[in-house]
Amino acid sequence: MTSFTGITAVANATNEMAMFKQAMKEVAAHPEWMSSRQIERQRWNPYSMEGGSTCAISGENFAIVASDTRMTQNDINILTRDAEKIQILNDNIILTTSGFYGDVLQLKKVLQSRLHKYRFDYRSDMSVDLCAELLSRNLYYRRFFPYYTGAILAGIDEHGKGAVFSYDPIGCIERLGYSASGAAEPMIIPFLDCQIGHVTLSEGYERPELTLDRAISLMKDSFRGAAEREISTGDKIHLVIAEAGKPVVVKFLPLRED
Amino acid sequence: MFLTRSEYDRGVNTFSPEGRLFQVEYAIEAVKLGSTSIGIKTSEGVLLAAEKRSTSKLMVNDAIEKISKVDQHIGVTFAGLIADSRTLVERAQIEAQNFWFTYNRKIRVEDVTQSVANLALQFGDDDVKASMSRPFGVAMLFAGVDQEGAKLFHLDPSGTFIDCKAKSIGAASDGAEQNLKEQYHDALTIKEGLKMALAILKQVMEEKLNSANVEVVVIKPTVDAKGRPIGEFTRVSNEELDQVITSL
Amino acid sequence: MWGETFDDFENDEGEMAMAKQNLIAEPARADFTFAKLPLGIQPVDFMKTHFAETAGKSMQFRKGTTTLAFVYEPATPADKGGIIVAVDSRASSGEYISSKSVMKILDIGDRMVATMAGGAADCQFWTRIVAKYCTLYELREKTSITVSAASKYFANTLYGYRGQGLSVGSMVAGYDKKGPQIFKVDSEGDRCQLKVCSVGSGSLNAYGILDNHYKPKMTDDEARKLGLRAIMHATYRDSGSGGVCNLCHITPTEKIRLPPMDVSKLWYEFADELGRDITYNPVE
Repeated sequence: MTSFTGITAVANATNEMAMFKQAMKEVAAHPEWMSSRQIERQRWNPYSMEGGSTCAISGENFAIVASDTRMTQNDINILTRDAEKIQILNDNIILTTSGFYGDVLQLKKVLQSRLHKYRFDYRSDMSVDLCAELLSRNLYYRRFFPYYTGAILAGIDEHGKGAVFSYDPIGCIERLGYSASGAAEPMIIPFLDCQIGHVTLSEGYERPELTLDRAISLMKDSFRGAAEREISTGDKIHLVIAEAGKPVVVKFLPLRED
Repeated sequence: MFLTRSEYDRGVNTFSPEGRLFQVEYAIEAVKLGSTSIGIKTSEGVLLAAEKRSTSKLMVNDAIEKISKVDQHIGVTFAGLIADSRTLVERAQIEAQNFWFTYNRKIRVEDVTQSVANLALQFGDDDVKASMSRPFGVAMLFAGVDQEGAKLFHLDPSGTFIDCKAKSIGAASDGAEQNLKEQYHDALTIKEGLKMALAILKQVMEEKLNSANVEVVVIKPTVDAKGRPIGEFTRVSNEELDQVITSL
Repeated sequence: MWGETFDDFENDEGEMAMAKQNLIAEPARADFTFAKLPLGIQPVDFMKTHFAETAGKSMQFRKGTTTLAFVYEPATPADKGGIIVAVDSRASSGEYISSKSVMKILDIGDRMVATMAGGAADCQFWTRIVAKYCTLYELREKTSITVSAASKYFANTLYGYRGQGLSVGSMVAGYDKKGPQIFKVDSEGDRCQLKVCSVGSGSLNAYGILDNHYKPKMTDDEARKLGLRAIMHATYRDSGSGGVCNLCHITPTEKIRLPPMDVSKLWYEFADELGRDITYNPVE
């Protein structure tokens, strides 16, 4: 039996060590000298979530971006029905963001000033690929105090093809065919996976080509569907269409207002 | 020769009554003390050739580097105060990498030249802002291939940079440039360009031209993993140089 | 930087100007500091409150992975040998799969790669920093950097941010003058050299396959299959892994990236190979 007591002793020691480590961690996070006010500050919340959803689809020679225009407070109170979450940075670059509106505005300003400076420094307009990488770096520069935004960057790249870049709040970047962000992301993406990604279609079936018209109607459908089932999405669809070699077109389409 | 200028050639930030900055002009003169370098843009890329002047037979010639790599697609050669060029080359390398870091794209040859040119004029008596107390004493030739094709830029100590088809800097630059003007045409191939550069160096160099006292870099266009045009920096080996030199 | 609560007015102005400068121009990396939270707020706690399970789907950081790498010698003269790096492609935000096509093998120079496990953004950013360092090192020293040196720089950089909530588990793999090498580096500052290595939530499953079937000498085909098989089994049992299997073969002379393979298709392929009947037939 001696061996068993030996094991218990070891187990106790490991247990004690784990407890000690836990205590050390807690003390490091909330030292004794911290007043109650300071501990209160740990729950400091600089963000607010203004809801809404945004989505982007890219095709052979176009990219379309859409978002709803509802701004909510705590998902309940509707603050405004005309909040614009899409920023047209230039003819080829469109930024769309969901999340905290303050950070949305800040991000837009940062990118705009960078674009401006780039034009002076390098005597050409930034293309969407460059801007996408730049945005990723800038999101990461706020790694320890992130922008509270789910950003999507869309546009027409150097080869005249549509491009969509998706990000997490700290700048994990990926180029995709379509992407969504915001409250209705988990509703929109499966729909687009089915319609554009054709992930549910068996091999050998005909896959409809993604034309601009089809993309636009899919976009409308996904937002109308989301507005039916998601409380912070609604009011209007803000639709922006970028086509290679053409000026950007902006449209507003009605959506459920309840 | 410079006697009449004596009043105004002390301060780096004082114009003479004729509107000249003598220290900068002297810096340009310093370039002419350096060994000769030639850059030629051809239809198949761009090449740099530089003389490696050994002042003593006790010196190891391989240790001198007259053409530096700035990035995978850009090379630079210099003439004048070599020590100064180290600072500028380092700046160019960092600038190229920072651009890649931010934009995930290789920097253009013009932009890297511009960033070094910005540094060239940051001299003066002010300790806070100035990085140097005098102008740099080097001229540089930036050569590379970017998305716009082959490029060759000449940068002098005044911070002026010019897009060139062919250019020579250093001690024998006047003679070399005369030759370049006569022989250059737009349809040059790399091989012809290489031969031309070495022939001109052979003509203007004081020493006898051999593979040990000349350095040649060729930057040829290729495509990167994403299919974008870019250059590939390669040093021409001694064997290849010997081949061309014997054929001259 | 921003939002310091212990007001120091003289300094505040300077720091505000600096902060603005950082927004307008790309910050010079040498003196760059990340934007800090106000004094007295712990970054780890703050992230947990605002970017963890309670946050919306699009506000959570992307993570979750199975990555593996191993070194092998060629079994026959016809084989190349080297390093196999295989990864899955899923990025999840909580229980939501935010991407199924992430490239988790990131390039560091021509001969080296780093894998990505843990926080996706952390890995992408810091491997870029390492790649930049390696290029500059090679330009300055005029010799290619060793895997050991690159991974050490990586580990040291991460160690500088220890305790601040970075989440990186990376394998730096490549060929250098000492031969094929793999270093495992993580955000706690750990760095160790291994022959067979796996990182991520599905690593235990991957290790199961690797330890069973790994041989020091293999043919190229065997080695690539082993990589695929380990990833496939990991994605089969680990909910944090999935998507496609990306595979990179680093040989003494080149770096070959193989086309992505759908893991759910792989499952059937391997089932065929084992002669396993995939439809369940209860014994009568």
